Amino acid sequence: MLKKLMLALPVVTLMSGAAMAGDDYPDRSIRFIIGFGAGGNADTVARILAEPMTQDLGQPVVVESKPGAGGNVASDFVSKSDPDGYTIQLMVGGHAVSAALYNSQPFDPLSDFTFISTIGQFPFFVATPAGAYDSIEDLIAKAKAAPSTIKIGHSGVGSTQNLTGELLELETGADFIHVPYKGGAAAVTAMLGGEVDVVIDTGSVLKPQKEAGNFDILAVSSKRRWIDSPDIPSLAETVAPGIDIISWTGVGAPAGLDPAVTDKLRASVHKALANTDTAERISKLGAWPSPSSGKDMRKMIENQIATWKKVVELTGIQKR
Amino acid sequence: MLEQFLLGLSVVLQPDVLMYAFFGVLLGQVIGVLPGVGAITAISLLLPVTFYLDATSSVILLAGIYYGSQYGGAIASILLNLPGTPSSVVTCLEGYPLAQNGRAGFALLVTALSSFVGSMIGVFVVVLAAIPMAAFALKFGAPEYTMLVALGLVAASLISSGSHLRAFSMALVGIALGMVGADANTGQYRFVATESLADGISLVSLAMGLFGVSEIIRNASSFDERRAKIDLSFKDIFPTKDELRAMVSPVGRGASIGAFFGALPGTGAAIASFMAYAFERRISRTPEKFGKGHLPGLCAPEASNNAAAQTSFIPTLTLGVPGDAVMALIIGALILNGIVPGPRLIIEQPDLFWGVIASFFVGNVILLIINIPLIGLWVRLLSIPYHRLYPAIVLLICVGVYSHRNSVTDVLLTLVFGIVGYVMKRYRFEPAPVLLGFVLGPMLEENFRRTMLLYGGDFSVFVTRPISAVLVACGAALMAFTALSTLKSYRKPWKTGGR
Amino acid sequence: MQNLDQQKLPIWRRIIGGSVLVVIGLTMIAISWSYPSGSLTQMGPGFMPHLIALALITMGIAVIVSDLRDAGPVREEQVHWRALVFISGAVIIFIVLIEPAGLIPAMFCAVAASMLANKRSGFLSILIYSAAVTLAGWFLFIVALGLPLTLFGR
Repeated sequence: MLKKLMLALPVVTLMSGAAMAGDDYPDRSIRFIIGFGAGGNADTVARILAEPMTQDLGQPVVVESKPGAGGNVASDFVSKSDPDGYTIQLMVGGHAVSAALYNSQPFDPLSDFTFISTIGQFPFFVATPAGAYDSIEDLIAKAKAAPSTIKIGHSGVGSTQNLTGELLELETGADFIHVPYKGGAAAVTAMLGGEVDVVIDTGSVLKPQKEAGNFDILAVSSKRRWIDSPDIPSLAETVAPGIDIISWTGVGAPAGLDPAVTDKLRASVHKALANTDTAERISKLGAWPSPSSGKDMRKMIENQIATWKKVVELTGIQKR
Repeated sequence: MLEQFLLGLSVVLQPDVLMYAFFGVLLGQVIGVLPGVGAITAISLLLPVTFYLDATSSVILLAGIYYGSQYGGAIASILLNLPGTPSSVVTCLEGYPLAQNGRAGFALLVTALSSFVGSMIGVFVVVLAAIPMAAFALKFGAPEYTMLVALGLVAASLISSGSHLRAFSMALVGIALGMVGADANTGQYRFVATESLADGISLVSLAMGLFGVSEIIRNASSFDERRAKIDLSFKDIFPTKDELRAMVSPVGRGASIGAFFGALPGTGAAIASFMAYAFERRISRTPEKFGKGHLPGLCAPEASNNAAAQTSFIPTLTLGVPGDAVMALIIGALILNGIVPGPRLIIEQPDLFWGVIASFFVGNVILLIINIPLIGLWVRLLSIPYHRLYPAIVLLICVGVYSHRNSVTDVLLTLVFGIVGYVMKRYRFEPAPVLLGFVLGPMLEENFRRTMLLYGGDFSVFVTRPISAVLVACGAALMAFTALSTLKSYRKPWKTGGR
Repeated sequence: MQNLDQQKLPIWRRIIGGSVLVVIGLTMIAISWSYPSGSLTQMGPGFMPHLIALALITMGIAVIVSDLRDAGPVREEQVHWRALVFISGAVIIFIVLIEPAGLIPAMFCAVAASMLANKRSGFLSILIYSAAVTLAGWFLFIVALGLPLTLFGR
């Protein structure tokens, strides 16, 4: 037994040896950190992307979960890792929300990261039980007529879904009761059982219920109508001109990543998204595949942090 | 129904599909035995594999891992007092004492049989009543869940073998531990000492610490060449006719309780096995035998959690809403295959729906077949002297807990809970109610606060809504019985142990 | 292990169980003092902690009273100091090593340390056995299950 182990030792040591950036990159496995537990959307997206990236880069891209504090544990870990390209992160819209929601973060959400590319973008939809309201205008009118009676179920305090509901209230002047649930599925169950009147969540959560005739989808949170659902009006064109909320997933890394490595990773992500199978999987999860430059990704996050800071301040949501 | 079930069987009995079912349950069984490495880790690691399979095979594979792990969870609990899930905590209570008395093989066989029968009853409930059960589950709103959980907590004070007072205190401690982390309704951090506690204490840490680590500390310094005599012959392992007869009603009751709880999204197998155990204890004529390897206390919860594992597919498959993370992954696999799970799944994809359900049936038969020969192997594990075994158990716990969410804080907490569990036992405080309080506490708070928010602070909803009213009545009856038996035992404290 | 009449125990041993519960309750109140209670419809994060803490204090007092009045047989066994020290040591070594040094060194050292909990373990047997268990662990977690853990430090 002991002999076998001694024989195995040098081989394993070689495998995990250090590497230089640039041409040789990557010469060992890459850790793809996600800030959420298995079973969530982020986990699934990371695994979808890790597959073609592994083939493209010739080294395993290993999904590793470091859940906690709305993704902050993972972001903290990544921001303090070596910028050698062997630790990358799946970022989500929550990265910008956290920056607004937390009193202090142990990292800077912009300057401590190298942004590689966005993966997919998706809006939120406003759904109500089938036949309950004629239109989004009808919902808002009824909410204004009877303040604090209509209940919005959302997937947790501080989630983008929750903030979208708060923003809707701010923009229209309607007054809702916001009821938190643990995740979108629980909120959907509650609306199926008649416990809440409105649910704001992603298309992948709400559309199956619309197709089954249980829910009506009244509006979408993006400024313009969303690409895959042209018949659903946007909140901006109907009741709240100021609302333009699009969430996203993307790939990031620690700040100071060698540009050659950054380019290689970005090319790999873009190549993966150009693959029809991968793109199709991403879109089946309800997101529109949208590769981007690092600059655009950074700009988008910067804008979103500003929006959420405003929303958190105006609604008086408890900071943490 | 039978016709559709046969359609499902014809799907599953194709050789390649059958292979996925076999592989799934086998992997699940192995994962289940390793405490800490849960079904969820295995399922998410295998998710990319399902990209290359059709939808039916994907779900059959992933579902097999899930209910296979329910089966496997009992093994580490019985042999080593290592519970990886809340439902296997209950298995420890009766299974581990049996193993210590040299009846590990018997306990494993009883468990396998109870699990099998429980699963089968669960499958039949899914086949016969998936749609009405789902409709019924939707009637459970915040007030019903509040009362259901409260009922569970009252039952908690009955599951310990010591005094109800102590058990109830421990359930409160469990609730308190469950509060660590971000408050679900406002997001404010409570009792968060370090960032890594922001998502709360991990259940795996708590269960493995209180049960596994404390047991190691108690026994590590012993030095017996042979730890306990072990039963290997078929005669020793197999239950006698009387024992088999004594199992029938507890298994039936356990499975019914489990089938009911499983269908409620979000409650699942954990409450099911605790409730089944508490129920058996309550109606037993010999409650003092519990905690020492009593047969009904072993087989009812096992039947219950396996039945629940099957019926927990009801909300997932018929409503398209996952009750927990495992179900969310299974729905993810379906979506990636272009199938949107939801209310129309049964009509639009009958092969898939009935194929998956038939696979439960086939998978459980496979599990029973592979389990019986394995019993001999598992039991031999106990013939290894304890001073050789325990270092490996320490390792299993460390790696298992760490891999659960890659957190060293979790491992440290496991140790802390291990020491706490060791001290608690010396002062006659039982660990099981802590676990139950920990699981149920957050659900109680969440649903109670939601009820108050939805109904404007009006307590009358608890009695005006019919299901809730029934639950309130059950709880009141249970408390009355307990109070009565407590008074009785005060009169003759030395004859009945339960004070 | 022997059963002692509880009356023979010193008073602090008889009240300590309940007292610890009271202390836990008081600590909870102290920490959660600043958490807002809110109203019944809009309960704050402090509502339940306060409630549970009060219940714990009450139960603690009840346990003290019941232990003083009439206690069941108490299990008296010696404290397993050696096991406490070395099992704790093993877990702590694992915690310290797993991230900087990787899985293999962490497993090896943790197993070796835990073996010291039993005084019959000799030096050679510790070395051989730890290596064997480490190898088995590597096979189980890395080869068979493919868990994403680093074998050696980075």
